[in-house]
Amino acid sequence: MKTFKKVALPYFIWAALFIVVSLLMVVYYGFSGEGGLTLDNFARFFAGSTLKTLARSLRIAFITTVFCLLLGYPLAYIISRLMVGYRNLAIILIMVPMWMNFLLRTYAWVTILSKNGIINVVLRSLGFEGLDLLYREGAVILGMVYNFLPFMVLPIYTVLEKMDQSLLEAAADLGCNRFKSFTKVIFPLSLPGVASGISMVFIPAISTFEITTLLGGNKTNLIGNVIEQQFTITGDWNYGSAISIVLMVFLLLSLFFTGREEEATSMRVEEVVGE
Amino acid sequence: MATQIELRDIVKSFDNHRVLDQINLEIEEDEFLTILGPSGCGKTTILRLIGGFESPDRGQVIFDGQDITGLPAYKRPVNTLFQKYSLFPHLNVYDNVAFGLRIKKIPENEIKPRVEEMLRLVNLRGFENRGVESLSGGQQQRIAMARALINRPEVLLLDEPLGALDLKLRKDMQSELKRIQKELGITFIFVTHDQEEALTLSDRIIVLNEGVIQQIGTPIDIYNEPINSFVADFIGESNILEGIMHRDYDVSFSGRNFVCVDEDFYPDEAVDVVIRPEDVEIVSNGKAQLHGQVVSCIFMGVHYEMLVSTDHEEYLIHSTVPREIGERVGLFIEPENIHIMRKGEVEGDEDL
Repeated sequence: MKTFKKVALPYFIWAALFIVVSLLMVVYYGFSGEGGLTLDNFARFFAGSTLKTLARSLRIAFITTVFCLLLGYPLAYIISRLMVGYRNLAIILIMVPMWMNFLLRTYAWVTILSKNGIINVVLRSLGFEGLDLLYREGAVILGMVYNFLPFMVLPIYTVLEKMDQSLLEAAADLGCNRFKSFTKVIFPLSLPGVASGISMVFIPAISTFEITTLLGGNKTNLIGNVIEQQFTITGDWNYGSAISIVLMVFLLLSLFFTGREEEATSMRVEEVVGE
Repeated sequence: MATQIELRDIVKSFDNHRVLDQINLEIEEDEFLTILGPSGCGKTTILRLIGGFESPDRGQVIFDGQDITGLPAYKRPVNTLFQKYSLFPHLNVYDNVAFGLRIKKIPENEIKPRVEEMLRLVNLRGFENRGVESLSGGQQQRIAMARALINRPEVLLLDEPLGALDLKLRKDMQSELKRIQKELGITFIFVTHDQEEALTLSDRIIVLNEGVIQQIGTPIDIYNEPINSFVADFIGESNILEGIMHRDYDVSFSGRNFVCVDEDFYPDEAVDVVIRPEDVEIVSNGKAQLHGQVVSCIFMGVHYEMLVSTDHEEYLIHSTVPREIGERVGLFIEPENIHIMRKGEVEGDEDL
């Protein structure tokens, strides 16, 4: 046990320095201002327009999560039913884009959606009018769903793939056709994966600022953008920290609701994703 | 008794490996039938064919005169007790047992007394709200049984259900199984590789090896009159010797002639001679047919297990009287305890 502690020491220092200390700094900045400790930053947040931005962020993150779930669950289910070789191929295909730079992937959508992008060129050559696709909320949601879909697929896939096939035989034995086997056994048993997927999509979706900057222009500002601007442009670290703390509280609440069961699955997924 | 399930000319292969070869089998209503064989002999496949989890390459499964070969598992009037129990981990004991009835949309007020009845049947009253993963192996097995039997199946398929339990628990569950089968009066088709289990529980035993039915019969028949050396060796311990059947009632093995009770062989046909260890008597030299030296003597509880080496082979002998290692002893075998078998004969061969 003592040697274990010694080996763990560097990690302990790392965690203390880069997690605990930086977290404490955020809390300190959030609760302080010109004249020492104060709640002004929070008062300003709950009075001002940033509150609306938070509401919009929650809404967009929610829509993104719903789309990811609706697309991701069937995808994970289909992959888990494939033969082993095809299964691994499909998972690699899902993961390969994630090895590419995140900004690059998002830029690709700019060239597809922009005024002279691929979609509009095709539309015009077919004699239709071009569409205004970029710099809209829809484009932001599209970008988020595209970027975060693997985080929904992988935890659900992991649960489905590990599911004991004899449970399905037991369900069939007890009178379940395929649909009932799904609703009564497969889906309830995959809920830990779903919970894990939801939090793995919702958390980055609510705090992203790159996707909104690239695909939303300045029209669709989300809470992540506001925080970023406080640090990079306005230079108001105190206000930025305060918003970060509020966001953190929301995330902790959402984690609380998605439950504790998912811990095991998300750990397994991290092994797969390797990020 | 009426025939309930019939397998006709069943052939089944996995990856070009023939697992079942021309299986013909009639299962009677309300019997306790055991399919016995070493692992990989195809016994579980027979069960899965009846349960509807596999379909045969050729042949038919007949249930009460109806061809059910193509009927999916969920429409068949049979239930299965799985080897790994396969209880639903997201449901508690009550919901697991009630599962089948809820699928059939039986009203809740009717389900409740039936679940209680089932839990009483398997001696697990008061466990309704427990999570299934908190139960011991034996308890999980009982819940799995309750979950299967609550549907009032006409046939219960049991796939090595006692394999994972320790010896004491297995003994308890064996008598439990027999009691439940008697109480409900339904057909049990039981798959095992444990010959003792098969002998204890069954009304009839099917001995299967490499996808071929070797012998069908009552436990006593199969033990006393094994049809070939495989069955003799698999059911209990045996001395299996090479012999020549000269004429009716006259066989030679171990370098001398013996009187036996078998007839109808070709003159001088090469045969397998099977002698149970408890049928070899150790006698004084005057009466002895064979002479040998005690090689080992191990205390087994009820009896001693001895190896006696004669000029030609070693005999396995069970006796309640121990002998010294190295002692010279005489051996004697009663004519009716000498079992003569045609080489490679299996069930149904004599009909041809």
